[in-house]
Amino acid sequence: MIRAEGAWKRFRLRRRSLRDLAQDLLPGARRGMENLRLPFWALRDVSIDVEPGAAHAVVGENGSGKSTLLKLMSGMMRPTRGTVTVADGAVLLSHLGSGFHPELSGRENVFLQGAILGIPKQRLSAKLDEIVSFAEVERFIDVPVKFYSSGMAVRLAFAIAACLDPEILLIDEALAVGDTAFRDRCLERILEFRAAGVTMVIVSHDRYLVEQLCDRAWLLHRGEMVESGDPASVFNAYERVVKRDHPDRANPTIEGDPGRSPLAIESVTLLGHDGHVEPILDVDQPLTVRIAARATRDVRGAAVGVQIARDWHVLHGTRSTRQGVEISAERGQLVTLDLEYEKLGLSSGGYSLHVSVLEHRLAHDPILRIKRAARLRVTHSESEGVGLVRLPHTWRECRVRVQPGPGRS
Amino acid sequence: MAATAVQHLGEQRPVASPAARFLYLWSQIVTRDLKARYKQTVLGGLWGLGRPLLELGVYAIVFGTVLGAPSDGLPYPLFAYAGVVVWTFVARGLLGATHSVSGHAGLVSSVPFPKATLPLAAISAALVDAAVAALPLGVALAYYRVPLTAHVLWLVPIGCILVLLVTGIGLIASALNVFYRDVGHLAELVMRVWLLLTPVVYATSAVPERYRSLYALNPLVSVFENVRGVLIEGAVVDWPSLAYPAAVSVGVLLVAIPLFRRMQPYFAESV
Repeated sequence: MIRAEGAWKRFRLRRRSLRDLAQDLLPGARRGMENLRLPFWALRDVSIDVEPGAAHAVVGENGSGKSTLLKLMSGMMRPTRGTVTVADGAVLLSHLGSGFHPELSGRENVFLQGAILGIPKQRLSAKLDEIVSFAEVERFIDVPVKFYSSGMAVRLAFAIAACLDPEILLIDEALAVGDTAFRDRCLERILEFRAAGVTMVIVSHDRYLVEQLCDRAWLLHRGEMVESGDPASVFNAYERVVKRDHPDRANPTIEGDPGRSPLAIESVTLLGHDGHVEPILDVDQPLTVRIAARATRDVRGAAVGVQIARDWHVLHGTRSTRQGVEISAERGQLVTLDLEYEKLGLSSGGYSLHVSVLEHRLAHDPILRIKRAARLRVTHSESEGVGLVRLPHTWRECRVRVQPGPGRS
Repeated sequence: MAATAVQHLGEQRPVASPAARFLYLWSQIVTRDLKARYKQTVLGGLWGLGRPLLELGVYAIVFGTVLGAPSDGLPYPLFAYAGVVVWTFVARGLLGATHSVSGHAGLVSSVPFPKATLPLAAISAALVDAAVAALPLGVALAYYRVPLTAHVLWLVPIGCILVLLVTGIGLIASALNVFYRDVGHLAELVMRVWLLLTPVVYATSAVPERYRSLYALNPLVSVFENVRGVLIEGAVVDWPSLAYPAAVSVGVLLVAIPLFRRMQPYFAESV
């Protein structure tokens, strides 16, 4: 199995100079000049153990060293310091289709790409029909790949990789390809690999995918391993790291023209039972959003909307006018609205609230939108399921009554 | 369920040895290079014949007619074309190999595979080019009524020496070009000078006597002379003169193989 012990990886990022040449040619010159280089440590002191048969995720921001770690694990790069033990039968999937030759037909490229990945010819020939139908390129299999849409090329590349028979599969964001339907089929194939006992390490930003697929996750931050454990807790740590490093990303941002808005939002307060700066809620607790707005002119029939979002997914949105609450006020008057959620059906993690102002009941787009006007965190009570929302549900074991056969009722 | 799936896959798991994998990949890349080269051209594979013939036309006019280059009493077109065919392999092979790894940056930096297949495939494709270019040579030999003797078989060992030499230099150049692209630019220049320092379009007899020993330091000199000797003149191969290029080939390979192996793990991060 794959194991890294105190692995460091340094890259030379500067353009080549005579000094580099001198260092490469004269080993003696290396010592004195070491400090003159511009070193970039992509990985610092990373130790991991890949457990046989388990699925692991590597999580982290762009440039945190995820791809470098996978390349070390595949054996295509060597650590600058420390050791990485690589097992045979590890296959790295990244930049699918980078081996395609644009002038060659899809069919010709299947065999070329297969050879690059190390799939024997007989296996490819036997699976050719399967590959073609999986990638949905039946009509274009004898057309040069340069005429393919980018989606078609990537589908074909994944279909070829799906024929692999690896012991360990290292996947570098290769799943984020194609349309939704194709992604589902890719995921299905990955789950088949998983069921067949293939050990996996995947790099992904998709929390849902990782929580569904992986037993374990590692969080890389600027080349260091800062967290490891079950995927949910690692993703929560990831959110904390992002918030710490980019506090402005979590700050409210205003979209639209506040000058034209009939209402100026003065405050958005969350009333949970735990009234901190950012309320922390248990799963089934109620939540009240209190919005204070001042009329900038005489207002008739305006609406306020609230959305609950996680990352870029809006999980729920509602407008006051949907329940008949239209805001009418004189210029300068303060209006307070309460939006009560009886139960937040959300799974654990951090959420933001976007607040918007609409000029009237039928307005299509808000005239003012404050993104991340407030934040809240939901804590997990018990393991109730995975996903973005938490639907109240109950499992029951039913006694099945033995029915008499058909036609004899 | 899971257990049966494992078994099922286990039965299918092919036992492809590294060598078999290497050979299959190598053959795929060679075919790709050859197939892709003449795609979207009207003349297609005819360019394989056309190019060396056009080159020959230029050399025949410039060197044969205008400059009157010596051809040791052989018909100049025949003399020069034999040289052009062999040179096609050397130049295409070396330049192709030099850019083979750096030209596949996307592949080299994202997929683990034996990188030596790239320069070797480039050299093999050049060998096929030379073979295609050699077809008109057969016609020319018949036209000039040059009798073919059993000595022609010596072309095989001579060819082997040449292939080894090109492979050794090609491996070194392809690896170095990953780290310093200067090598690629340098290679173009070197090939141009090397062409002039090799008896491709003129005979060695054109070189002044006092420079002859210096000239013979070029390992290609005796290779070209021997190719013409056994092919056109029906002469016996001159083994002592071939010992030098053979020794150089082996020497270069002995440096090239460990060098390429040592540098290969750093290709992905530098390419």
